[in-house]
Amino acid sequence: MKKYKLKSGIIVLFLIMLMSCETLDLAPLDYYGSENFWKDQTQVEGYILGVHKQLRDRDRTYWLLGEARGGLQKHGTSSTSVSLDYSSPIKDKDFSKDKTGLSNWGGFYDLVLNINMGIFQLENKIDFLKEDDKKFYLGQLYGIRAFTYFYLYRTYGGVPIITEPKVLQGVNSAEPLYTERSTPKQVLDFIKNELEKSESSFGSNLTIKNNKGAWSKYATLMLKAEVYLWSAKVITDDQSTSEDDLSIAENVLQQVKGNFELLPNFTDVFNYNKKGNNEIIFALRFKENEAINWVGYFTYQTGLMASKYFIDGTQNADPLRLKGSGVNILRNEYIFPFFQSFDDEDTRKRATFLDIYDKDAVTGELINGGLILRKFLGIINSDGDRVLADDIPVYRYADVLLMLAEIENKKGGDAAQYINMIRERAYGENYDPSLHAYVNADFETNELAILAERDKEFVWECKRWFDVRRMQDGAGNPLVFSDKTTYGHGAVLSTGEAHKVLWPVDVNTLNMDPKLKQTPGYE
Amino acid sequence: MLMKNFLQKLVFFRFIVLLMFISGQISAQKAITGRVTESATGNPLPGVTVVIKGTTIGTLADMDGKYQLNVDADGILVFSYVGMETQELNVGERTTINVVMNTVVETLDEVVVTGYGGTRVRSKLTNSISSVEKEILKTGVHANPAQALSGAVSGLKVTNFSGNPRAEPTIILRGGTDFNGTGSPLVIIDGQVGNMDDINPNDIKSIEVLKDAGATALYGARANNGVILITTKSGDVTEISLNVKYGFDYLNNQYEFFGAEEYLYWIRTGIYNASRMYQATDGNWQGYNNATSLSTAQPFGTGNRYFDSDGVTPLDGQKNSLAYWSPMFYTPDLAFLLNEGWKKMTDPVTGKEIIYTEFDRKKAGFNDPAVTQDYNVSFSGGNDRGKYYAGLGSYDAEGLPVKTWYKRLNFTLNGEYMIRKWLTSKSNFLFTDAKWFDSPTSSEGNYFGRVLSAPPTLREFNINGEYLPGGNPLYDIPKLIRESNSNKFHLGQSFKISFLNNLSLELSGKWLYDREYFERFDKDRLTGPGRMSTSRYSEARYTKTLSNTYNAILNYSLTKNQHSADALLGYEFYDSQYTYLSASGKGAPTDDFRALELTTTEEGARVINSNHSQERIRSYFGRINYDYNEKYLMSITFRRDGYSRLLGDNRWGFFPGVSAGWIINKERFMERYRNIISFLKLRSSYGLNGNVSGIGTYELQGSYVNILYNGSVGYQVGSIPNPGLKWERSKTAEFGIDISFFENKINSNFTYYNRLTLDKYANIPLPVSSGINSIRSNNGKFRNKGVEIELSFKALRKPNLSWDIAGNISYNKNIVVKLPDNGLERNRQGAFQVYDEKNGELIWVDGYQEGQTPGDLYVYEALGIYKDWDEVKALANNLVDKGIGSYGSNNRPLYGPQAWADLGDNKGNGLPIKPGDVIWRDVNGDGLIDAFDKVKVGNTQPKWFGGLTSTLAYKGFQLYARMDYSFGFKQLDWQRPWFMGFAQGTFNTLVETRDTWTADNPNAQYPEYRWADQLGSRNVTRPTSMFVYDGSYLAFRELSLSYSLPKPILENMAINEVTFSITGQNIGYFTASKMNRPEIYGSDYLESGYSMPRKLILGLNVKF
Repeated sequence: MKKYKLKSGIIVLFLIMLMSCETLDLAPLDYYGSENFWKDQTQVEGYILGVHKQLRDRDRTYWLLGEARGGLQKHGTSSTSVSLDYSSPIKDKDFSKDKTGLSNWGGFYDLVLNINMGIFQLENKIDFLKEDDKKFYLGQLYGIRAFTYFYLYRTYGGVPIITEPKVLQGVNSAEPLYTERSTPKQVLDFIKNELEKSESSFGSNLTIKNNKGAWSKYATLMLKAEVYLWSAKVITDDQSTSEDDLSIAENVLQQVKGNFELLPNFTDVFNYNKKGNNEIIFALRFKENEAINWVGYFTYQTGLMASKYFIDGTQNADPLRLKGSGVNILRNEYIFPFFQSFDDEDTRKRATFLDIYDKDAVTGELINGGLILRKFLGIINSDGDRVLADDIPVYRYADVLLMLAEIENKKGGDAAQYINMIRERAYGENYDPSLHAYVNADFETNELAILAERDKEFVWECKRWFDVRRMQDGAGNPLVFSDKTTYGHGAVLSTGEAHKVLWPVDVNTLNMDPKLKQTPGYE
Repeated sequence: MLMKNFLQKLVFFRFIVLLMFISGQISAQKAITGRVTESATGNPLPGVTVVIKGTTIGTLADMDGKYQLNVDADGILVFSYVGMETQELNVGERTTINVVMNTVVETLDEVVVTGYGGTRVRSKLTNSISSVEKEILKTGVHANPAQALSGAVSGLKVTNFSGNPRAEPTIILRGGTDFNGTGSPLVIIDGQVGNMDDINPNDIKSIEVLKDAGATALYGARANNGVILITTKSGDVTEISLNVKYGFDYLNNQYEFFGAEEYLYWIRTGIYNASRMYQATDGNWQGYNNATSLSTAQPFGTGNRYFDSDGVTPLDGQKNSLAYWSPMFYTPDLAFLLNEGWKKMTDPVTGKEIIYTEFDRKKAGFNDPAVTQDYNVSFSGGNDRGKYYAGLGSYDAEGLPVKTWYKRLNFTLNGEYMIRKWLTSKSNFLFTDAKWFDSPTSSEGNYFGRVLSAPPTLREFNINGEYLPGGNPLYDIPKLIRESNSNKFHLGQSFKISFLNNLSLELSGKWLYDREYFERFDKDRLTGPGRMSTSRYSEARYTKTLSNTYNAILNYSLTKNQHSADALLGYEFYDSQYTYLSASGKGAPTDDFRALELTTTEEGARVINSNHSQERIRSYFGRINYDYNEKYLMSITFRRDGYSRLLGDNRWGFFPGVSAGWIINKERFMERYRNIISFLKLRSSYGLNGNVSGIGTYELQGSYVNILYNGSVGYQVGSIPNPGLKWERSKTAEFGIDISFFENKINSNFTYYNRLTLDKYANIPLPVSSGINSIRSNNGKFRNKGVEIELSFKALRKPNLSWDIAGNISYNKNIVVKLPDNGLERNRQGAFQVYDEKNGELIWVDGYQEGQTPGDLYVYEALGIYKDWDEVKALANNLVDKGIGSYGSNNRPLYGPQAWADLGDNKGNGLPIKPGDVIWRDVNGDGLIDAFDKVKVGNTQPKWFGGLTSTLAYKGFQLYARMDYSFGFKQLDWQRPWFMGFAQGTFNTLVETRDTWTADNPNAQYPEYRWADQLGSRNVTRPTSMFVYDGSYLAFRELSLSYSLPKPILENMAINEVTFSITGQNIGYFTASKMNRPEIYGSDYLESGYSMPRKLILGLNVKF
């Protein structure tokens, strides 16, 4: 009898086991699932940081878009006999529909998705923020969205304008997501409108967070100046310039002017230990143990450096103490004649470059000059290792001055005043106005002088290609077709390949979206 | 040492056996005599084993077939002989027992494990369940049993991708359910989801592979790629077994590189060639590199120096890059080096003399041979109430890369005991401890290609006799500490309660505790001349997974008249928790300790992290087997699974399976064929399985991931929520015939299957502007269909001599049936365009397209080499070549002579087509070679595959051979052109380079050797038919000769069996492929990888 009690007890136990329901609802344990995000201000603040981090992630793209094809890059083989990256089609401008240089719209749209989600939440969902805070975040996100689309616009002309985070709102098939390219005018108008929203959202709030590593109202104003200056001078397809463009740009720059200054010493602007200094308006923040930039690809391998000579005839396998930490290789190199165009008294010359040579076996002369970038070399840390984590400035005060010079020149005014402010700082104690000051001249001469000044000032700051695209010769044609801009290397583009001012879209991106058409001229 | 241990053990075991004898002699015994004869001839049968059942006491029949033995009256005598039916006879009152032995009529009574404690005799099986032949796990050495399974079972493709001792092969059943032909079976070890690397092959009793959905539906949710059931040994035989294997692994490398002299000759020639591609109008030679590198301090350059500029002080290669590589122009002050092993040669470029030294990369980089030691001892026994098995195994293998190794220790303990008539308790315990050291200097895939191809002109030592850094593993390894250790514990406890004879409940709980620990420490070391790395990076990582499986299973069986049925009903709850912890730091003050507390506390220098996840599955399942009159068979299974990875209503899935069989030879109308057809069964099954593999634990919930900016934690969208995702479902229909002939001497079975996977997880590519590349959806259909044939043939059955042959062959074809609608033709994904060979129109090929078999291989077709300018002008005068190169090619346009001349001075980055270049096929004949000029050369998935075994036994000798094969697929060698195209820019090239085009060798097989071909003409560095092989192969996996000592000799030593063996493993391949592992398939591009070593193994097996 006892036995049967036991056995029936077991059966009951078995049935209980069948019934007992350990839940199958399990949520992530280490990060936020989509159901438990957007619940408090810390998350929103962190999300805005995340957008900045994604801006930083694209540091190489900005350079490829803004500088690589500007005509100052060697292609083929570097001075240390390694093959140069992006030689073709970017640096040699050999673009075609099969050789697009970039793919996936430069990788900007996943950033756009994040921005769109932030804006959507802030505008429609979030009710726990103070109005001022909400507006500040919106000011940042609208500004960054305009910044992103401005890159897309200058690169591709018309692009799909996406403002809703559809894939985060339950759209899970391709068809509703197909979006055609807007016209260049529509994109530019969109950008201008975004800037309006950003400016009004910021209102009078001029806070710059994160030691200038965060977007602020000043960044929006700088972008606005850039956009309107572009709009005043560059015509893409269906777009036309407006009389007001130039004055809007000037007006905006005047608002920025006075709130920042030129540092007395050029190298201090980029000094790792002086991040967020008075010249910086907005910079991409890099940091040891957090993120390094890619400047290592403009340096050298010690093994290949060992047989090179410096201008004083000495040799040293590791002159910049790179110690082989990180990636150090000369995969991108500026053309030597550009270096030769610097005055020796110009402190920027050797603050920017280290010049290296071979020695002619017969004559003993230094030949085959090559260039190592030394402008953004970071710090040597406590381990004695070099850490390439300098900020990359997006907007700094020198740009305010040189944009004003350009506006002044376009208006027929005196561009020299601004150029000379830059030169004065650049030459430092060597500065002798009688030798070094620029004297105002005709439009084209001024424009070329401003370009040359920008070239020297902004090496590696992702501006050169946009500069030659925007600035004009005496006839009002873009300098990109002028043979006076590349230090003897011919025009950046020939007029016969004018369509190459815009980039082609890669076939994969086109295949993914049947509504897309190739950039004009590349079909 | 080994022998001494062994002898000690021998003495010990003999003592135990002696005790057994003494205990056996307590009861009253009488002498039995008799004679054994063979039924067919009536002749006496010598050598028949006669033992008393349940003991080790016994004797052998003498030359006249006579025997004598003392036995109790209640004893049972067992008569056995190879090839004869074993007989058991009660002694009773008899004193003489004569026996007539019959030749074995093979029966089909093999018991097959079907899951959740169920078994079925093979003759009644209605499903495709294959059992792995026992011999496969016994022969050869394997760190884990999966490595032994290539060719073992029809329909199961097992590929050893790596020769690393701890490598896990890829196992794919019936073509896999993923579009790319992957998807691995669920592995169940003693009722618990596990992994093949958990277990020692010596502890395995049986491996069953469940293939059709009629069988796998019982495992429902995760079983659409099949189920592998592993049962460990449980004490069915009473014995002590000792198994020793000692093996030597030899490097089986497919690449032969130049020594230093030919290296210098060809590399310098290659650089020179690339610098002289054409003459510009000013008469100067132009190329795509600069020949000045020939005089730099490079592996091939002459800018290296022995002495400092004072001409007397030797430079130190540890400090100075100029004294790292050896080549220099010869000067008389270096003459003394010739006495120190340096050599001289003539420079092909300048004609001057070069002095150099040679570094043997193979010697520095490899264990050849590497030694493998495998020791196993097990104890087992049982009686009516209980069974016991304990096994201890030690596996110690050196890897081929120098100083690498793998060590594994296993302990297995299985016991069961009937505590009450109605209650049986069963416990099992498996423990594995594995430690390993892999090469820290290079990834496994690169090691075999890069270590050997690095320049041989490195100076091995500096002036002080110290190793030079940067490429010599012997320098790096002592400074790079890497310790990996994994432990696995399987713990199982179950109770079986019998309510009635035919009704029982089994309750069990099983834990799998799986932990892995890794530590790394980098001591100060030179990474190149003068470059000291002093970060002292230290890292520790710990992962732990604890999986719990609890189940309750009710079993019921009933036999009435001619009806026979059994049923099972079960519930299972699975919970798995994963924990990860890692920490790292750097900047410790000393090189001597790696403890993390010593690392610097500077901001950001220490990184810590932890991770957690948890998942659960709840399941209900059941099975009914029924047969009528042992002729008409039927089986039904079902399972209902709920899985925490899926959300809401999609969480639960129902997976039924049904199968039926008809044993035709038991019908009366078949009796007249009985002499020919001894067994004939038709079977058929249909069932449904599920799959959620590849779905992350919380993936469908979407995520915001943590990031760091300006030192603060922030967030960004990690993945998007996808709550609508459902189970993937596979429907499998199969039809089979099992047929045996001539008293079951020939057994065969034929199976046709058709598996359609619906609601397949397909990534729908989204427009780039959406912000994500793709989203997973249940939107595809994928079909595998094929045929499996298994044959076994008892070719010879003679006294003392037997020969068995078995083989299997499988054919599989995969077809993409449906892809998500994307508005494109055949809803193609990832396809590209080529010219149709018939009409020159552009067509979309490859990728995934509806109605097509994935895996086609498209390459540029190399028609030959331009011998001379006449040929270039004749074939390519106006040709323009814009073919797309590999390895970061810059895709320079290439021009035929006329097209080149037409460019005038505007050559851009173009190059001329020259003698020594490859003649490419212009598929559409438009005078332009571009990306569309690729042609299909075949498919990368084998169509046919299988295995073959042969076992020949003569007296104590046995010769066992095992082969496996695949045929009908192509391979594209991705590594060889990298070498031959000088793609790295300094690395060595293959000896095939001797047969490259030169003016003196215009009929060469390969194009002119030039520096960085990918930056030039892309003669080899584009996907080219020149490096496509037919992958078909026959692998000689094992050949083993063993000898068992005759029983009479052993009897006196109280030993049951002593077997010596010598085995060759991975002996070689019969193939046209140049890959060292032709069995690798599926990927478009095949790299060098870790080659499978050739092994020679000596073995000893003793049983007491």
